Amino acid sequence: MSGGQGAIGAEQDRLLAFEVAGSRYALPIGCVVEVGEVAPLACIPTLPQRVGGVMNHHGDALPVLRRGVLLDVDEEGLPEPAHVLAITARPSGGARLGVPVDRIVGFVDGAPATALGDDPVAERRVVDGRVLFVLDPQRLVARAKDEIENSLGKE
Amino acid sequence: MGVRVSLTHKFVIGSLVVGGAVVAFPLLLERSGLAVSPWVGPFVALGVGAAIGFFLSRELTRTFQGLRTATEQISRGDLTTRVGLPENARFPDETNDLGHSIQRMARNLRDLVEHVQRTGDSVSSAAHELTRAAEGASQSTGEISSTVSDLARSVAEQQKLLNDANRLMHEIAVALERNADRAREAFGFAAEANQKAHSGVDVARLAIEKMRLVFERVEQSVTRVFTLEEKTRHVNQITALITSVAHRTNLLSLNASIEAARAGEAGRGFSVVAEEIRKLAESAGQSAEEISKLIAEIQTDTQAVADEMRESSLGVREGREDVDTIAHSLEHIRSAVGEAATRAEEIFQGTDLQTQDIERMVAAMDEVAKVAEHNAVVIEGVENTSGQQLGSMSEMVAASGTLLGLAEELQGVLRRLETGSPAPEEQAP
Repeated sequence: MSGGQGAIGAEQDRLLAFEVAGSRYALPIGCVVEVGEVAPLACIPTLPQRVGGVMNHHGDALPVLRRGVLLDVDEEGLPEPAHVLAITARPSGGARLGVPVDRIVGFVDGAPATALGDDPVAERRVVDGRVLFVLDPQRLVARAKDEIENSLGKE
Repeated sequence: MGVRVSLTHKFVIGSLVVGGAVVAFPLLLERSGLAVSPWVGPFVALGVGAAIGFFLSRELTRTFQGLRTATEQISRGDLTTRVGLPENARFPDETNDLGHSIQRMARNLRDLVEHVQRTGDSVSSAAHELTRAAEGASQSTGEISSTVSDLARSVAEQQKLLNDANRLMHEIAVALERNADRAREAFGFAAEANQKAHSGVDVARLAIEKMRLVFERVEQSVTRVFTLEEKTRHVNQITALITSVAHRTNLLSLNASIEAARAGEAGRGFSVVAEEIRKLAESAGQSAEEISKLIAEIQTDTQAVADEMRESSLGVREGREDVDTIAHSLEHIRSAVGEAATRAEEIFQGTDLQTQDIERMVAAMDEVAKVAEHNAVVIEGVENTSGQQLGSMSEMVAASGTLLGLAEELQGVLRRLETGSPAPEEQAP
């Protein structure tokens, strides 16, 4: 997929595709800082563990939200995530977020998309006969921020 | 006591007195001078003679009257009578002697009768005793006869029982003989079983040795399988390491591709290399995954084999223990069979001894049966003799009864004789 999807072009024209709960998602490669190993999550005070925690990322605290909270998927019966994507809201930088994924699919040629509402899924494309949900990093980070703020102190 | 003068003398004296009177009186008259008729002298002499005769005859009459009274009383059986003789006879004669003789006769007769009475009483008493004794003896003899009859029946029953016992002893002897034959056969079988047990134990030992070899080989196989399992696990660890390396390489290539993409045009060549590395990592990862799958399958199979081998090992261990147990059991069986053979031989020999003993016992029982038969014959003779004795005792009882009757009759006769002594019934307390 990744190689076969097209030649390597500009940063803005490439997406990193991954799978969560059997669905394929994609993020602009410029916003992906690193694909990392899953490390144990540390608790954020007053934040419920079902929402997420923080992970050591090269000495920095990387907030990681669970897949069900971040992408509205049912985590019941899902295997443990294989990787954690460290992303930023914008290619130029900004707040970082850890997104746990089940599997890295590869690179997909295509332009990023901007979400219009609160839903982080900005666009749905069909690649290799499957639906690919193109995520808006800003919306995804904003959702994470909202979820964390909403969940703090609730338990 | 007067002067004893016999009747002859008295008659002579009387005659002399009469004759003298006849002669003397005329002479006296003549001398006296009295004129009397010549017939007076004879008449006076006759008168004197008559007076003398009167006195003498009166004396005799009295004496004979007493004698007659005494003899009549004696003839009536009164032996207590006393002869009434003059107490102071001046001239006792033969009549007095006769009276005294009759008196002595009566006394002697009284003594004799008393003696006879006493004897009769004794005879009567003895007859009574004899009758009672005879009756008792007859009763005892009857009881003896009854007892002898019972004894004869008992002896007959005993003889019957002895015959039964003898028959049973014969049957026991036959059974013992049969048992001896069977014991002999059992001894033969036990000896054969002992020999076969020995052979079986030897064969079993060989089989056990072979089974031990098999068990050792199985255990060696188990060890090899365990080693193979260990090596497979090691290979799996290596494969996991390769997989991990491939995963990390893939991750690094992904990050390298991301960094190359972020570098833009300057990172194009690096991006190509990273892409190739990622492909290689993916390929290596897939191969490692396949290897891992194969190894997992091998591990599963090896694990199954190992489990089976482990179970087999347990089974082998149990089998070895069972084989050892079988060997011990066979050894025990051989020992037991040998012991059984020994016991069978002892039984056989003991049965032989018992057979000899029972034969001797049968012979003794035959002798006892013969003795019992002889006893039965003797008892039968004793029974007949007892019957005859019982008859004799009945005759004796009858004879004693007759004797008692005679004794009582004699007592009756003697009781009629008065002796002056108290009657035996009166004497008896």
